[in-house]
Amino acid sequence: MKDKININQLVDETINSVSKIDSVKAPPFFKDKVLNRMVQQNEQQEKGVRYLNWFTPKYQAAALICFVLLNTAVLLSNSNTTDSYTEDVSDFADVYGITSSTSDTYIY
Amino acid sequence: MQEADFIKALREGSNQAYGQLIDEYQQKVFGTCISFVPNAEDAEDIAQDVFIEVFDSINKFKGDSKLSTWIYRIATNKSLEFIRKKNTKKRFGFMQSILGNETPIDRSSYFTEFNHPGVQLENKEKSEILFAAINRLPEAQRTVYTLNKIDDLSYQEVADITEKSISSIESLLFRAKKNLQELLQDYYKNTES
Repeated sequence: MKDKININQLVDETINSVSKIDSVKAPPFFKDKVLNRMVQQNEQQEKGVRYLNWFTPKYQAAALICFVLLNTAVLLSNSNTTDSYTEDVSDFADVYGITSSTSDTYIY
Repeated sequence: MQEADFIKALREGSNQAYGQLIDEYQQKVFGTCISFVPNAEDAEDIAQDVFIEVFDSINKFKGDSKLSTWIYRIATNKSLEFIRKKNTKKRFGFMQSILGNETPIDRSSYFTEFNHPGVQLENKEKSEILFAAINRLPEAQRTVYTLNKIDDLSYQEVADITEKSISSIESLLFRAKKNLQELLQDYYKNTES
């Protein structure tokens, strides 16, 4: 019983300790620190924007479409010329004797 | 200067207005931050972040509430964000939520080193225990309790900041106090045995 009263008293004292907390002052040079951070942030933003200022989302979308179209065109043109490319490579291999059949002959 | 003119000056990027804003609110913002995060260095960092956020998003401020309420709201959110980040690092909240085995108050696992310049030495231990217990409350209760009891804001101010009615603030405070009593009773029982 005594313990319970003691615990309740401790609980009350702990909860009431909040009323004994004094108000605190902002740290010294707080204003200067905030203003410095603002200046630094503005400088960083200006640096980042300076080179690509003109590259607005409109131009970004146009550039992306051009990139996709160019890649598609190159892929399509390459797939049409695949046969001639394979022929060229096999001719080259024949001339220098590096086809798989030739090398087999050397091994056995 | 009227508040509307002051906000207009801030939106135009007037250095004088920025300076005035910091002069006027640094005490209040730092007070709110240290009420949530009882460590002078951490609270200072959060307070700086609050002003940077205010300057960055002053154009988004619609004027639905008072400027002071909006700034307090940013300070509260930034502080809670800080606590959330630190708490997830300190304890395995995910595992606890699955297993449901909440650990008792543990001052050693508190999210920051307790260093509140407003707490007197003879009260330090009790305050430290209280802050650790507050950290165990659900976020809504913790917010309302901290703003009203530690930062000493009125019910109306707390209601404006949290965008809740006064009756729900009263109810949250009642539940917070009840939960704190239970948490502290458990703590003192454990330390006695």
